This record gives sequence, C-alpha cells and structure tokens, in this order.
Amino acid sequence: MFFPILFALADAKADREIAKRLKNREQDALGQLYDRYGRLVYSIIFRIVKNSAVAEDLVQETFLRVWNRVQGFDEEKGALGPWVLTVARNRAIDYLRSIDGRMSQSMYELSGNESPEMFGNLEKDMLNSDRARVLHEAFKKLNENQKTVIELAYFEGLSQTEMAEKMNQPLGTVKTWVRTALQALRNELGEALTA
Amino acid sequence: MMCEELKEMYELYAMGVSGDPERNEIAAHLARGCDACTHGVKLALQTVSFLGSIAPMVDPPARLRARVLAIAASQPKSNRFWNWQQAWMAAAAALTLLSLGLWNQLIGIDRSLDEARQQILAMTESQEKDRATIQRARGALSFLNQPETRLVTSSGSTIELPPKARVFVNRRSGVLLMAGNLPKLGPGKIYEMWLIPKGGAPVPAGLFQPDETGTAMHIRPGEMDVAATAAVAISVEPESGSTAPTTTPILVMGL
Ligand SMILES: [Zn+2]
Repeated sequence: MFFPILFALADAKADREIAKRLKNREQDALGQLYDRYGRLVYSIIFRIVKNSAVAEDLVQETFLRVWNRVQGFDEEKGALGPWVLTVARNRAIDYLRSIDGRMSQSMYELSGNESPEMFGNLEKDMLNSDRARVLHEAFKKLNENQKTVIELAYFEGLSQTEMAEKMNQPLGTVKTWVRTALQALRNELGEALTA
Repeated sequence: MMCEELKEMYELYAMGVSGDPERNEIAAHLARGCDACTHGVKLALQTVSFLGSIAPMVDPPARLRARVLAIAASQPKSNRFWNWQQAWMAAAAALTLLSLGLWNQLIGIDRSLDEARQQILAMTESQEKDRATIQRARGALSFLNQPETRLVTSSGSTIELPPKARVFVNRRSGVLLMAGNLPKLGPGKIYEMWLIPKGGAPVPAGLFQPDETGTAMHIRPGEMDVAATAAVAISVEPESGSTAPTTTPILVMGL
C-alpha cells in the first residue's frame, strides 16, 4: 500500500524551503505546498465532511489559513506537514460541529491547537515520515473498538462522553478503549511521553 | 493537577476532544509555559496529525489547485470588510431555518454561493468570526441541496409560530434583516423597519412585505453608526409607510 503521507513527509528539506518561500509571500510556493499536501488534505477533509463541495471550500480555507499564519512558523525547526494536516482536520471538525451546534467548544479549543508555534522547536529522534509509517501500522494493529474510538475522536471530533452515547456503551468502557488505544500508538512510536 | 496526571490526555487535547477538568488543566499548564505539558502537547499534535493517513485517499478535482493558488493572487488586497454577498449567503441559509418554504429559491442561492466563494478567499484572520456564520449557512445549504432532503409540511393543520428575526449590521453597508413567521397583513398594511438610536426617536429604515410563508429579507443600505444604535425594530404601518411608528413594534432587536 502506498501512503502519500510518507512521500510528503519524507523530504524535510523541501518543506523548509517551501516554508521559507511562503514567508516571503512567493505565490508558487503555495502551489508547491498544494502539490505536496493537497491530496492528503482533501482526503482527510472529505473523510470528515463527506461532501465534495464542502471539502473543496475547506481545503481552500486550510491553505488560506496556512498562508495567513505562516509568518509565525519556524521553517528551521517546524513540522510543516503536521501543521498543515492539523489545520485541515480542524477546519473540517469546526464545520461538522458548526452544523450540529457544537460550535462554542470547538472555536476555542481547536484554534489554540493549531498555532504554528505549536509545530516548532520540537526535538525528535525519528523522522516524521518514519513516525507516520509507524503510527499507521500501529493503528492497523488495534482491535475494532479501539479503532472506532480513535476514528470517532479524529474524524468526528467526539469527546469520550459523546462516543459513549453514540456507541451506546458505558463511559468507563469507552475510556478504557481510548486509553489503551492511545497507549498502543504511543508505545509503537517508542515515545512514552516522559518529557 | 500534576503534569503526570495529564499526560494520558495530551492526544485527546490535541484533537480538541478532551473533557473537563483535564482540558482546562492542560490549557492552564500551557498558558503558564509548563515545559513538560508544552512538549507533550506538541508531540501529541504531531502524532495525531499522522492519523490523517487513515483516511482513504481521494483525488481532489483538478480545479482545486487553481482555487488554492488564487489565495495568494488575491492577498495584497486583504483586509476587505466582509461584504453583503457573504451576509446574504448567511442570511439565505438562516432564513431557511426560520421557514423551510424556500426550496425554490435555492437554485439562486447556490449560484450566489459560487460568487461568494471567491469573496471568502479574500477573508483574513480578523474575518474568521464571520466565517463561522457562513460555515453554518453552508451547512444548511448542503443539507438542503441533498436530493434526499424533503420539505415536510403539516397539511391541514396550521401552527402559529411566533415571528422571528435576525439582524446583521455593518458600519459601511447598513442593516440586513431576515425575518420569519411574520403574520400576513391586511390590505393597505406593510411592515416597516426602524433604527432606534440610543436616546433618540426611531428612524425609518424601509418598507417590506414578507412572502406567502411569512419570510422576508430586507436591507437598509448605506453607512450606519453601529455604536450609536440601540436597536432595530419592525412595526406594522400603512402601506405608504410612516415617519414614526404608529403601532407597537412586533419585534425589537437590541444591538
Ligand atoms: Zn504541566
């Protein structure tokens, strides 16, 4: 199976170059950014909103936001791909929440989590492309319930309480699935999060 | 709470789905520059971003690239104030929520949506709040545009719904009113909109008739002093209009 994400993340040098040129307001840098991440961004958003016209709009908003905020991005130590993907996912979740009336929570919570500063200055002992591959493999190893809760969190933006309602399961059970799923993903990444 | 107790929640926090009290706790740690939590959340944000690779890959339409590039092309003219096209779009969709009798107008709305897309492009950071409204509008539109969506009417039985209205104000472009469930008026009567200044008498802001479903959109174009305006009101008047309200307003919307 071919993972475009790996391809896109593999070339950290190209990302640095693109980020630098975006900060210089070079228009074709935006084209390059789109060529690297556009398909992924579209796929993630489409998976969330399940509507191609809406997805197109949100892709545009994603790149608009990146373009508008790139001055705060550290091209030397920043992780451009993860930032772009986060902005994309958040646009789509914001959209979902806005149409079912969960707006107030998301506006506050998601926007703080996508400032470019949060994607900078992070020492890593693994390349992003390796981490993405490991994570993808680790996800496939989860059991069905664990996969479901991770998908509900990531693609639907549901809290554990909301998941429990949707899955018609006790909250404690859902919390266990979430905790063990995240633990498994972390373990596979070899990062026990002991900062 | 200690960082140690929070670290299992970093990924959920990164996805914006953590519950209280952990969410507030983590936010507080980040706000005071806690190294452990900042590092943990940064790492979690990256980890979580890779979950995007679970999504089945779908090819975007080829035109999307050009739309994205248009962002950069349109940028120097940024900071445009949000305009009535967006307001109309939001208004149009919100109106459908007030009254679902607008099915036939949707084709027209959809067309203006295309034009509005180009305007959305030009929006900058300060305008993102407005975008939330537009997103909601788009949600309603996409709902209405789905072929399986059906208009349900209560045939035979009439339900009296109270009049509702929303008002958009813009210091450069004026006032946009959207109203629903307006009672049908007798012959020779019309609705009149009023701007009520703080500590002043109501100023006429135009006449309008709702459609058969009781919905109406009305604009009073031109500049307005938003800060000096206390409210927007609607009253029933003789069809030639009045210079001061002659009946008690049926709706008053404070600004
Ligand atoms: Zn901490």
